[in-house]
Amino acid sequence: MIFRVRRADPEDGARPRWQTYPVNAQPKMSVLDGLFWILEHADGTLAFRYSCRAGMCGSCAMIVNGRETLACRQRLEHVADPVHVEPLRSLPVIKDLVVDMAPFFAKYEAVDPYYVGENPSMTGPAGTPAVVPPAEGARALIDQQLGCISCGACYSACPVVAFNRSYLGPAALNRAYTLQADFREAGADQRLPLTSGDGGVHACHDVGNCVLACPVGINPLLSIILLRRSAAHS
Amino acid sequence: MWEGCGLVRDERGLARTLAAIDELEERAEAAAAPAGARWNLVWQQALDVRNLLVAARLTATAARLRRETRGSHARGDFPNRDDAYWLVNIHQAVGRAPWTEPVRLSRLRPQDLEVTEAGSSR
Repeated sequence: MIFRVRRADPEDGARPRWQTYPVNAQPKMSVLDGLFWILEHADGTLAFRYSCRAGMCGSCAMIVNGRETLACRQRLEHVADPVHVEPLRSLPVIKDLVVDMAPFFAKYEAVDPYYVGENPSMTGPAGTPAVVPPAEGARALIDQQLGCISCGACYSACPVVAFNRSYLGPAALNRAYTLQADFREAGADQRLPLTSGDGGVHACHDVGNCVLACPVGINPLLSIILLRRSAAHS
Repeated sequence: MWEGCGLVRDERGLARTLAAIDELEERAEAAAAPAGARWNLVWQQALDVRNLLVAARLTATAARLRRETRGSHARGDFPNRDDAYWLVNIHQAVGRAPWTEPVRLSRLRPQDLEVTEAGSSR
């Protein structure tokens, strides 16, 4: 199987280029396995990021044949040959397939992505912690939208992120929604303006690439729409 | 490490493991990596191998020295615990032969924890 890998080294001054590697593909190998094969047998200078190899950590998000995916979860038998492998878009390339995730996480941080407790009106009987039952509607929606592995796939797939530097992007806004939707959350009033400004939910064009890109089945667009509703009602 | 220094160890397997580590250390010394410090996976792996070999040598050396079975250290050739001789910690350091120091028992002694077959305390 032929791998065509987008290579770049910002420090060598050369333009990014495609490099071709024939890979001895075996059944059940993933794209990540193919990259390891290249590293071991063909080119020790190839750079890519990985950790768990099992689709849990989100380290190996990259673009395979034009679509964002986790390299470890993409089986070679399910991708067209030659397979084109590129780094995520809208993030600076460190080397080859490795991007600098700092802008992504800076925007994540910008929505106060942590639970703020101590809402005095939201405690249960006799000061016990308030409970959101699993069957409750808001809980079900929060559960569906939790579990982001911050891989950056949605961020890369989003055309608004690509042209609007200040746009927070799907992952950060989705995280904000999972907190806003929790009635115990005490920081909601402070957080709402963070997601409703110029870089917030109103900048989204409802393209929905984020929904297709998410490797863990989150629907960030839905979170953005619901945050818009909260903003309208506030 | 898997074969000679795994769940159940014995003198022969541990000797073989340490010989294999000697050989791997020689090969690791001669390993080369491409130039460039930035995101150099091969260089990282070369560093990893050296550190793995240090950990492997410490583990296999201590396992070979400890001629008893204790906790998760199971010796096929020494299946019993030997408090008379082996109630000690094994220490290792660069440039020095391994040595032992008595375990500092601050509260319980092994005999306080002995359990009879019926499950009641002795």
